[in-house]
Amino acid sequence: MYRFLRLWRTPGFWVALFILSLVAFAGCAAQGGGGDYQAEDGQPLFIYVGANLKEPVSELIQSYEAETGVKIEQTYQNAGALLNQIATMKKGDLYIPGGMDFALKAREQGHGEKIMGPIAYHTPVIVTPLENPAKITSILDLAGPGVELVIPDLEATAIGVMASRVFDNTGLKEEIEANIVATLESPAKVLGVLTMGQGNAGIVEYSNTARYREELKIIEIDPRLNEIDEIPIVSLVYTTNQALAENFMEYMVENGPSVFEGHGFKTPVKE
Amino acid sequence: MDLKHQSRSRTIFKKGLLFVFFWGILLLIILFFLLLIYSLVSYSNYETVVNVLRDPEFHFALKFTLGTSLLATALATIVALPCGYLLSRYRFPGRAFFDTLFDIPIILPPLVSGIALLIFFGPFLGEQLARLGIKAVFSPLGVVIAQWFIAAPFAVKTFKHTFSSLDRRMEKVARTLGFTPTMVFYRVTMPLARNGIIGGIIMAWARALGEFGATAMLAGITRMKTETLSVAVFLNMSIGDMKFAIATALVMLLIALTLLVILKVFLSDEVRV
Repeated sequence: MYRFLRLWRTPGFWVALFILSLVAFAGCAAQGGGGDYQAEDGQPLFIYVGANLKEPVSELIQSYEAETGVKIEQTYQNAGALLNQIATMKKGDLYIPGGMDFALKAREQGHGEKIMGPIAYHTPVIVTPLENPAKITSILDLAGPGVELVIPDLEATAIGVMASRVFDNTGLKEEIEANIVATLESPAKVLGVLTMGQGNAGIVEYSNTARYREELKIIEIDPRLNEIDEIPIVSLVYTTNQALAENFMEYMVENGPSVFEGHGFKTPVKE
Repeated sequence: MDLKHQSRSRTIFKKGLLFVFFWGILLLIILFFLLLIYSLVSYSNYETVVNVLRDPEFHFALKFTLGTSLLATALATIVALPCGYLLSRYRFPGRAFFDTLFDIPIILPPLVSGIALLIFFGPFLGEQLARLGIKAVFSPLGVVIAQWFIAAPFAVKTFKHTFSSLDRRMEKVARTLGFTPTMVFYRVTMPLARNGIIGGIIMAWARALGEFGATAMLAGITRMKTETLSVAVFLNMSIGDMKFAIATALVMLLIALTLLVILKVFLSDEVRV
């Protein structure tokens, strides 16, 4: 009566399961990979995008796709990891890192060609819990006693590198760094742990704070001490469709700032 | 007679074909793994490996990783022994549910396990634990806890299967010969389960050694403080220094493989893990 329950014991069951999973996988892969729209040479554009820029860039890509019918594939990672991928794969058309340093590095290493922008700015800001227990009012206060600073890694993240330069500018680098209780992989994680009550101060990018205005206090850094980075777009030497890649670059420079602004970034002032 | 002979030879032929197939798959997989390691090596060079070996940050990460992963494995073993034994030997209400609980850290992406641990040791119980002097968030202790959490289920599962597969008659005979249940456990069950237990410990250690997601979430990736080898690889990768990252990974792999091979060779007389 319950013989069908023992179906899994038969080899046929496993063969059927295997074939079924193959079909499902093939179906998904076809859906994801083969786009209806393709560029002139039959290849979609491929873009490496800094993870922190995901929201505005994917919005811009969608509108570009809708306007032109060109299919654009994207991969998101931190800028350094992306550069490794580019160096390994030697493929792709464009690279949008979160900082100019990475754009210049890409060109230095022979992967990047033309740099355009800035599309927007990366601006470090201080965040604290709403009640601000360490009583921070400026960047200099981060050197004070009782500060528990949580920060994106000072070398591995664009915002961390900038924060490190800001510390240099204050002349209190040692004191501030002594207050760091943890470094994390991204500004998003810094915001996450601060809202969970861990640490009492952090440094993130201005746009990251857009969703946290109700939960955290945002303290801007004195512009005389702050370091602001530009978000560029870089064409890669491996592009197989120079004209299309440049067309998208121009589209980004023209339409990028307003979309980035909508996502909380500071952008070049439009005249 | 002739028919019988024919069918027998057909079976042997079938059997032969099956084993050719088995060997073929094994050799292909071995080749694939060796080529993977070769691909890593081909993207590194001798000088970078030497530089890595001289790097003080690497020294810290190596000692720290060995220390935390061994401690986590020891704790996992202590926890997994009773859990594995009870789950294997006793039928109690909700056993299937409790057994499935141990699957959670295996199923969940480590990042999510990390978030759960962070909430537990942070907003949920952080203050109470801090009063007891336990500070898991952003501390080396957090690394041990995260590694333990991710690795322990592997030990529990292996131990459970080991205890289940033992011949219970041996234990019963020991009881009839006058052993107390405790004596049976120490003098009969444990020696019989030795192979599986060592296998489980190795599995747990290997998992703890490479742990990244949960560790990064609970303990952070603070250089020279909570920096394990996986974190060091991640940090170097993020800077764009792939050669250094791969060299670190290779050294990590070499140390782990050496330790595992030594262990397996030393134990090979009695144990196959």
